[in-house]
Amino acid sequence: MLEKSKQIRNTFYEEANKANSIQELAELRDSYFGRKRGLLTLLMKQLRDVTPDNRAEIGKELNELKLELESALERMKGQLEVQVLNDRLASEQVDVTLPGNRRLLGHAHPLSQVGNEIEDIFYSMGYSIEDGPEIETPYYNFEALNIPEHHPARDAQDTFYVSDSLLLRTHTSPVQIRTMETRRPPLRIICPGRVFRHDNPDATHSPVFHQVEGLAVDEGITFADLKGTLEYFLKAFFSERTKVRFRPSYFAFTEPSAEVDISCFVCSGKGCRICKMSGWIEVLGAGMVNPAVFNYVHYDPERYTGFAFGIGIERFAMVKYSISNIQHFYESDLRFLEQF
Amino acid sequence: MKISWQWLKEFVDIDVSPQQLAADLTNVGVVVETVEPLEADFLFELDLTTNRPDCLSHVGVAREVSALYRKPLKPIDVRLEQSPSPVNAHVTVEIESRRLCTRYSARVICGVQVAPSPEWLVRRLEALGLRSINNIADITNYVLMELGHPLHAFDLVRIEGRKIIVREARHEERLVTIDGLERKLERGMLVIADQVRPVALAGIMGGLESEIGFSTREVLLESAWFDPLSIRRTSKSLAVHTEASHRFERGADVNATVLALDRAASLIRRLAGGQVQQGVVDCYPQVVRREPLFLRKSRITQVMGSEIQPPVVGEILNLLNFKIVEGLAEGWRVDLPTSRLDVEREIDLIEEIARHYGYDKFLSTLPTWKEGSRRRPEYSQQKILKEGLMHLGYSETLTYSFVDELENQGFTDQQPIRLLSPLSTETGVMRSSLLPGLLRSFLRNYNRGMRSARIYEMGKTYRKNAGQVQEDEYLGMITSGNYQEKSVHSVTRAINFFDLKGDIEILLQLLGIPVKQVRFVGSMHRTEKGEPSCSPLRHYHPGVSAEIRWGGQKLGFLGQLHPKVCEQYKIKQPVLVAEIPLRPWYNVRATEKAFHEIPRFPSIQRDLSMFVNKDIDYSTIESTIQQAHIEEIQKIFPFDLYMGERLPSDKKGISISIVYQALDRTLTEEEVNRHHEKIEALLTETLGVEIRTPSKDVM
Ligand SMILES: [Zn+2]
Repeated sequence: MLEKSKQIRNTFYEEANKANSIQELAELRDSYFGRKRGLLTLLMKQLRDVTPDNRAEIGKELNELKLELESALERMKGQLEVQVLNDRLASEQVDVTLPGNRRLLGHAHPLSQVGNEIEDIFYSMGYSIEDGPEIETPYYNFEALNIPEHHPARDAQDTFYVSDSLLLRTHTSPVQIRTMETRRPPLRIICPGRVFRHDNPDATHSPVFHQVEGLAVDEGITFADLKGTLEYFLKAFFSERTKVRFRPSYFAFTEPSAEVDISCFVCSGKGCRICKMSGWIEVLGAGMVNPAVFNYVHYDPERYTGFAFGIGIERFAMVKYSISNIQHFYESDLRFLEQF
Repeated sequence: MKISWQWLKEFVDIDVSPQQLAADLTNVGVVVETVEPLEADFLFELDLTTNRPDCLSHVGVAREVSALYRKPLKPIDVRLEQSPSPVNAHVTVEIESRRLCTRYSARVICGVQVAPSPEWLVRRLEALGLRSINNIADITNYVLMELGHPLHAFDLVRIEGRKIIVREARHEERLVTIDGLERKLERGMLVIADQVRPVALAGIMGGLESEIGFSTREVLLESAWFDPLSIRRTSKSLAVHTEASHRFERGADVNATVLALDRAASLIRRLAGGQVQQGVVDCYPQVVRREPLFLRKSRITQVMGSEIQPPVVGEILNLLNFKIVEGLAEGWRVDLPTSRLDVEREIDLIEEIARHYGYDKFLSTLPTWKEGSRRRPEYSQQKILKEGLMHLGYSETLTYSFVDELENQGFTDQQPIRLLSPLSTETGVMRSSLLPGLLRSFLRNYNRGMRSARIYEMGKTYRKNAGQVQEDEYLGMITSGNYQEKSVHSVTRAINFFDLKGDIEILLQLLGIPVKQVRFVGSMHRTEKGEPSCSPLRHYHPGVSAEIRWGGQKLGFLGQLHPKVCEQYKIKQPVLVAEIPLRPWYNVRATEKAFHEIPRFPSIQRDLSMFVNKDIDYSTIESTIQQAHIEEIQKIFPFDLYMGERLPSDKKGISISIVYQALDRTLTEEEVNRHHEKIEALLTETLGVEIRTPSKDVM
């Protein structure tokens, strides 16, 4: 019987090596452990006929054989299952390089993006955001800003009128006057919005454009504060490395007034096409609020001082993204808009 | 204004290069746009601010240079040889309108030889862009460019009665100016007249008849000071702008008239010969004296943020011709020259000092604040909408606020707000709707072959409201073409009404507006009394458009554009648009969020299919079901809709699902059956529907 057991073991392994599927493995199991005809089952049955002296020894051997073959079958089954799974997964392979299934994202207008960025910087510096009407009176658009009728400064900003007493605002400064009329200092606001000038559209002019104007009024506000504030803002908007230059200029609304330039970021000040070889790019106008303006809104010009600045959003966007024609902003060409 | 480097150096020594000078002038506010070499010279193109007429001349710019490099100005050569015969014998002057003419000075030169100018003079003028005429006219222009004071030369023989009268024009008086145009004059316009008629438009342009010609022998040189406002008005209303009017309307120097006369007369004597008659006729009834101004040291510090050393202040003021009359501990008493009418207040002097001291020398500090900042709620609402739109695939456009009047009319019944002088008829009125701009935006892309797009604009529309101008903030949306790009992942289909409606529902949701409470009322919908339920807009497809309502408020309109409108724009595919007034959206108070217990018991979903008359809305079916007052209904939704051959033409088939759930127990089959039967009965009874399928559980 021991001989027989050894033989079974050998043939089992021989046959097992040939089993390549779960099905074949099941057949193999059946041919050894099958209830009626299983080779091992039959051998176990013969144990009854063995002499009692040998029964224990042979029984032990057969049991060991049974356990051994069963665990071998389990092991092989496990291996085969893994292989089957792997084969299935391999057959399910997709082409991961195909594009994702997404709905295309829209694009915020570059002027909105630049406007938001400017607003966020000033908001973080403690400025509140105000707005006002686009159709204004000459009083708010000119007179209260120290630009009387027939002032040559009115030439520079040719105006659209809708009636004798109403015009399209040429800057967002009227909002500053309206705000000062209703609130006392300390005041620090920015006024973003749409403004209009009677200019025929070309590469650098648009009859519609956008501004963010700012105003700070309090006791003790100085020109140094104006410089510090705009330097902080311009570095935050363009880059930490930006150099800022203040040049004397003239605006009726402010005195002293300044044009503010930044160092050219294309050539770092060496001179190039973008900065017209000067190394500097003019970006905004600013100054200390003219005491005459305080008189209009009944602020005491001896007690309060303030500064104001005006930022052209188109200008900032053009400088930031190197856009050379202002018309792009209003042409709604998606090939332009989708770049932002 | 153009400035010649060589000419400038006649008045001040300059040790730096032309390029360096340009940079330095720009830094004190006299902006040099370009420096161009011209033969042995350099030309500076200045971009001057309107407050600095004093820099509209070489001597004026030389003064800035002198202050810049702390160098003295050189004297101007006005040595003059005069004949013994007094000028009074040749001409008399009377100022009738003293309000508009403060001073009128004149000289007479007899026996001149009018001829072409010498080469050097022609070149100097031409370099600055002035055409050479003859030696006399050229000299007046030369002095204008040199000293900045406008002069005019008359042929004295042509002055009737040898008398100059400065007066306002009479009604409908006429004058032919040297450009050959006949000008119709009005009262209020200042003229130079002789005893019978006007001979010049004061400060603007001379008359043709008294113009200097080659036969002229006696020259009357005029050097006056006219009221800037009057010159500006006349120049504007007659649409003539000249070198002279440009300076007078900005303010010339009333005390420079004689200097300019003398300079011109000495040049005439040199280049055209003749005898300069003795003396000047100087009509100057009220000599202009400016009050000295007190400049406080403390105010400089208060405005600029740091102190400037008193000697520096003194030096700058002196070089700029502001003489210090008195120096005190608190500050300075300063004389104001008539050449700088723009400086009249303390702050003006501070600016003068600051710009020559150097803006770069002041500190940079940040102000300290005592308060926090705020943004109005609309600000964040707008941001949420814009971000939502972006995620929904809409790109933002910005278009002009003015549009074509006829085009505007197609989208509104509002009276438009017209521009008085528009750039063109296509931009003649303020837009009453965002749609013209959005359609043009779409069209621009469509015409170059881009068939699918989602675009929006957020901005103001304008209308008249009870005589007042009303500005309304709007969101306009436009979408057309395919729902998705052609893709391996899905089959493409056309965008439809419900895509746009869905987008709007998502926007409502983003602002916290309860979508369930928002109603969409179809354009063709009628009330029970048979009246229209809303006021439909004629540019929409009547069957595929709706008004958006929340309670009594109108939240906008959406739908397919009327095919006629598409035709006008030559768009050959359906276009969906929405017009949303943002004020009511911002005003809807978002519902406060409150937690509801998550149901612990299972829900049961039942389907219901029916045939129903076509004119019965889905919303009517849903509200009828609600009338059964079954509180276990959690949700009702339609999932199938069909019309067609198998149905009578006035019927549609609709299938809905109803989800039942109780918060405190598991619902039994019997309960749900009872509810469902009740609903079926109610629908049959009130809406006359025909129930198709027996109710059945769906898991
Ligand atoms: Zn550069």
